[in-house]
Amino acid sequence: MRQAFCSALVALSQERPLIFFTGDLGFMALEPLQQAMGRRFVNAGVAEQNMVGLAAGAASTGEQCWAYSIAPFIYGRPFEQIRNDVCLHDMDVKLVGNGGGYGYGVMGATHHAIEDYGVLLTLQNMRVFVPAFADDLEPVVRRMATDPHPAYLRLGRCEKPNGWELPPYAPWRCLLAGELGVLIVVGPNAGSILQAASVLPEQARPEIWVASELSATLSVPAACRARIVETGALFVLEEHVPHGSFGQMLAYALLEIRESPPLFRHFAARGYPSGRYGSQAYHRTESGLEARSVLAEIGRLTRR
Amino acid sequence: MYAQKTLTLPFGERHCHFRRVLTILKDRVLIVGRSSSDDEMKVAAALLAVAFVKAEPSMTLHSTVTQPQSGVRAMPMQRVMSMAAPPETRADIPLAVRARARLLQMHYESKVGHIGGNLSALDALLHLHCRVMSDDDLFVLSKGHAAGALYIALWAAGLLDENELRSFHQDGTRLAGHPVAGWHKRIPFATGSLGHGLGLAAGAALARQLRGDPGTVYCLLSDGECEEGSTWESILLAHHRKLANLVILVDANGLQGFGSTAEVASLEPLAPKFRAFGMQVVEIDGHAPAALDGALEKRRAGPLVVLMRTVKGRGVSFMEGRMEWHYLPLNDAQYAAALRELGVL
Repeated sequence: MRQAFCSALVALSQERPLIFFTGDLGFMALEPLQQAMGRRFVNAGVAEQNMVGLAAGAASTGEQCWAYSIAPFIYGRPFEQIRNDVCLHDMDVKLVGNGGGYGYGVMGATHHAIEDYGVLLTLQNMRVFVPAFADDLEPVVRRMATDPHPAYLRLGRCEKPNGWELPPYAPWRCLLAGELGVLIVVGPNAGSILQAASVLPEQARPEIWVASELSATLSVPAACRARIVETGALFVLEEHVPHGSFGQMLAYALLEIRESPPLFRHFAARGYPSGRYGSQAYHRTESGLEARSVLAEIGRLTRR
Repeated sequence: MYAQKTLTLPFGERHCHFRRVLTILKDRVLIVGRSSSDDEMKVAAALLAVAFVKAEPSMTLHSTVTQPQSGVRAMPMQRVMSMAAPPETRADIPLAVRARARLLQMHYESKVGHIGGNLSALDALLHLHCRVMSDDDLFVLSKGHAAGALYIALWAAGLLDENELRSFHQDGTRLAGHPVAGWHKRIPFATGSLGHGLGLAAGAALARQLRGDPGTVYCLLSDGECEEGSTWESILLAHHRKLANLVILVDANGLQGFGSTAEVASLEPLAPKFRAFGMQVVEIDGHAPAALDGALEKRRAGPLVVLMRTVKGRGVSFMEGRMEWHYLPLNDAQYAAALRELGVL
């Protein structure tokens, strides 16, 4: 998704002024943006706290600022700068984290971000965008740019099945019809789920939705709510720990409107249960997030 | 209690019987009598009220008779009245003294500490906001615990009114113990967690540099704050980007939260460390406005660091150089003694 993000931002930079900060990352991806933006592309060095402070300070003068690093480095190290300098002041600062979830795989746990958006959504004024497909980046970047508030963009690896025709971008989208309840996926895992589910008959798979925009107060689309009520089964899949996750927020939102389904299962990141490390696929499997096992589990749960 | 409508009663020469006034609180005059009768106190309060109403029409006055306190000497009534008058009416008292008295009054009334670090920064803040800064300039208070000094400087500059100042530390105030943002041009950021202000200031300076905007960004740090790593991240970048529109003022009073800076994690000598990052450094007496002017005149192509040697608690002898005044509020006797030292009591 980095290339798609870069292209979207190059286009944006030619339409409106902005300042782009990077924490010394983006090699083999952001060079076109560096070329396009010139002096407004600022390598802030290996200094994430200062980078976020700079972005907030520049935003205070009316600039829209984008600050980029890999996902674990953009929200953890400068957390207080995000809380105090960006969010308390409701600054037009966009934080971009590449490789959310287990995206950096065997690079190790320090490079994973499995609690990023849950942490950030505890902050005032923060919005979160988790595009599922590379095609989402252009509309997502535009939506972020037109909303003058803090935002976090979690990038991953696009897993869209070859030849798949996506519906137009929307914060919530129904991607595939199914009978075994509703499965809502956050982020790129949606592609793998689509790939695995598409070979199953409609009666043997859940209806698959993807949610790409998260905020502290979720508003579930009526069509999605209706299907949850109708089927009585809700499943959520995300590469994020349960605490502060989309799944928890969704359960809370449905409880509040008295539409909690009788069957709910949350497929979420479990950390490092074996103490062993590997690829993103390895960690997904350890957490029960691998697409075929998720669909098998849904089949088992709905047969009861 | 005297309502304002009673204040025009003719009292003749009775004010001659008035003997003791300890202080003026934000909404009342506190009178301490040793030999006067309660009636005399009430008369004196009413006479004071008449004068106050002329200067402060919005003020509601009360008289309170309290027990005598030791060490409190007589103060002429005229003197008391002028203390509460707007600063522009008291050109006979130096600005630095008026501001100190008002700062102490504000902290005394709200029973709030952080006085020492406010007094060390006050002279520079006064000069900056009253004499140096223009509308094109930006100020960032990175040492947010000096909020009181900033509020007083803005008040002295005519940028904050007396009513706002009286709300300091009260419920519903905009003058919190550490600055909150979004309501005053000279308070662009909420600060209080150390190590944030310089990044914000550098960001604002960078954006101005990119646009070619005029003006200077001033940022006040404390010397203890220089222990924050983020401060040096910002200094590194400020130099690298040649932010000539950035002036970093360091209130080097030598004391921090739980010891002296020399004891805790000494960065001294500080000036060579800033210079090692490529910064232009001028070291001055932080209580001498002319020295600050001189330092600012020496600005060259990059960011300037003005290392201001200051005294924590400056102006009040029992606070000067004492770490505990980072925290302590003033009691009645200390407040009276401090005002006496300033020559306003």
